[in-house]
Order: sequence, then structure tokens, then C-alpha cells
Amino acid sequence: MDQHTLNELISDDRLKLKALYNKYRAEFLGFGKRYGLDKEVLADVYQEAFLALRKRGISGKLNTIKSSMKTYLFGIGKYMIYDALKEKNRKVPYEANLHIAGEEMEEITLEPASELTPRQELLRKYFKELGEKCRQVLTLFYYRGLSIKEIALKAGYENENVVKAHKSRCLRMLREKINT
Amino acid sequence: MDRDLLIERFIQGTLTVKEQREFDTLVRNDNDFKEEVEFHINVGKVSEAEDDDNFRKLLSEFESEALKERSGTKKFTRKWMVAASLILIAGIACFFIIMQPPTTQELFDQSFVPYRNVVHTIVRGEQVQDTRTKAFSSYAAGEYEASVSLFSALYEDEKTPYYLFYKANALIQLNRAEEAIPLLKEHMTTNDSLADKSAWYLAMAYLQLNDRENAIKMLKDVVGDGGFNTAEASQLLEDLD
Repeated sequence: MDQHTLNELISDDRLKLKALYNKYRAEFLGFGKRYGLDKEVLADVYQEAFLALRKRGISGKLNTIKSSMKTYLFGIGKYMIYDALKEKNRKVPYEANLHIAGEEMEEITLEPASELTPRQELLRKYFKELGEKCRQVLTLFYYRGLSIKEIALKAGYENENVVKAHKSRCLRMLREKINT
Repeated sequence: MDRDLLIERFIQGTLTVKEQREFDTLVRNDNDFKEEVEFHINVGKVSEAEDDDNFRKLLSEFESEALKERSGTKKFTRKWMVAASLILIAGIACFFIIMQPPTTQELFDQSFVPYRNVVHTIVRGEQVQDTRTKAFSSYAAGEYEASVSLFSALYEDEKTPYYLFYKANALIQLNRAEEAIPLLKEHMTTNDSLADKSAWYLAMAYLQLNDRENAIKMLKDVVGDGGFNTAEASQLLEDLD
């Protein structure tokens, strides 16, 4: 997959993300129409597929993918459309319909999203109470998998030590919230 | 190795084999360490859930904006389609108006010019003006009403044919073609040097009266004569077809 586009996908650049979102949107909605789903449902499916694509990008799973971003996104979309059809109990000859859409767009299977445990839900509540800068540094480190050095560059910290100190302070605040 | 560093490397996925072993041992045997690791894993899970939710909100914004932009484009397109249609309709209307054969009145307006005075020399500054001078002066000045009366009087007195011709011209100019026709017809029969021009002005009189048939007939005569205004008559015949 094109690294440049991949970088845009996992970035926080609103303009680039919007351009990327709009780039495949119309075609995806047109493609999804064949399965008899409402436009609103398809728009939701597209958004979820786009999110799933980004999550895979963040996890590094797309780094070794040979197909284009569009093909991969539509592959995820196919899987999600199938799910949406199942939900609606539509008796659509699924396989036959999928092949209308075409050739190389292989369906991409997604792992079911794991629900947060009650303990995690509680932690989430406290996490939301943190300041924006704290949430950012923790997200970049724990979810996005950025190194301290990368965080310093991306979030505009003076140096790595400042990032480390800030991260520790944020974790301490989170712990304090849990313990109070 | 420092416990915090071990956990940090675990989170980042950068533990060496040796560090991984140490990490696993600690998780198995040290509940506090295990709790601490769980806390860090949970921070990861929670931040992921939050990040996903924020990204969903962003995508939802993109979707709304896309719909808005699309409807904006639609409105814009619609507006311009209406404008384009109006222009097209106006264009077609103009086309038909332009392509419609001109009316006899239009042809008349384009073609008729009262014949200039070629028979009487007007000397400026003359104290006492005779009737002829007054008549042609009025004619030249566009005072056609006055010239009509004067030409009538002169013709009554002198019976010179060209008074008929100039009176007819003045009458046509006054939009009184009906009165001009008999005068021109009479003038045509005379030996006046201007008689060859009467056919053209008779055609003009018929055009003014929207008498297409007679106008064509007279214009054909003009063309047939091959003299005064032959080219103009040919053009008019084409236009009247």
C-alpha cells in the first residue's frame, strides 16, 4: 500500500483525512447500492469501514499489504455490508451479489470488536476527565504506539524528557482519580 | 531491569527475549506488577476506544459536510441550469425572431429614403423666395406637410410632372402612401426625367401599405428596367420571398 497515503490515513490532519474520506465515498456508496441497502446505512458502513481501515493502519497491519488502499477499504466494506444484510435478515444471494462488485476486491474479515470490561469502562470515565494534552500523550503512546521521541516531534514537546515527565504526571492523575 | 521500563517496552512491543522472560516471570509471581501491567493495558484499551469514538465523530462530520457540499452543488447546478435554460430560451426566441422574414414595414423602413431635390437649385439668402424654392426648401428641411401643400399648388399652376413625384415622396414620408400611389402612377406615365424612379417609390408605397403583391410587382419592374435602384430592388425581392 502506498506509504504516503497510509501516513495520511493514520495522521490527525483533518484536511487530508477528509480528502481521503471523500476520495472513495461516492464510489463506495454506488458499489453498496447493489446490495439493496439504504444510503444512510451505506454511509454508516462506509464510515465504519474507513475507521477499521485506519485502525489497521495504526496497528501496522497495512504496511505489508500489496493491494491498494481502495481495494482494501472496499474489501472491508464488503464484509460489513454482509454483516448489515445479515442484521436486516435480507435473503440476498450474497456470494452472487458480491461478484457483481468485481474482481480483485476480496472480502476482508474483521475480528469482532472487543467490548470494554466494567473496569475499563470506569477507567474510561476518568480518562475523559483528563485534560486534552494528557489524553493526547496517553493515546499516542498506548494506542498509536508512538515512541517517546515520535511523540515529542508530533505533539511539539521540547524534548523526550518533557514527554516522559508529562506522561508520568498524566498516569498519576488517572490513578488518583481511580483511588478517590 | 527497572519495572517501569519493562512495562514501557512491553507496551511498545520492544522487549528483548531476555526482557520478555523477566517480564513473564514478574507477571506470574508479582501481583502488584501484574496489576500495574493490567492498568497500562487498560489505558491502551480506553485510549483506543476514545480515539475511535473521536474518529467516528470526525467521519460523521465529513459525511455531513459531503452531503451539504453535494446539496450545495445541486442547488448551484440547479440555479445555473435554470439560468442556462432561460438563456437558451432567450437564444431560441432571438433565433426565431432573427430568422423570421422581415415584415413589409421593416423592409420599408430599411429601404425608403425620400428622393433628394435634383430639380431646383435653392439659393441661400434670397430675400424673396418663390413658391418653388419654399416647396423644395421645406422638403429638404423635412417639413413634409408644408411641402405637400406647396407641391400641390405648384402642380396645379405649372403641371410639371416632377411635383407629383416629390409630393408623393413627401406623402410616403408622412405615412400617407395611399395618397402617394395615384400620384406616382400618373408620374410614371409622363416623360419626366424622374419617371424611371417612380416604380421604386410606388413599390415603397405598397410596402408601407403592406401590399406585398403589388410591391413585388413593382420591384420586378424596377429590376426589369435595370436602372435606378436595381440592386436594392433585387435584394428586397429576395427578402420578400
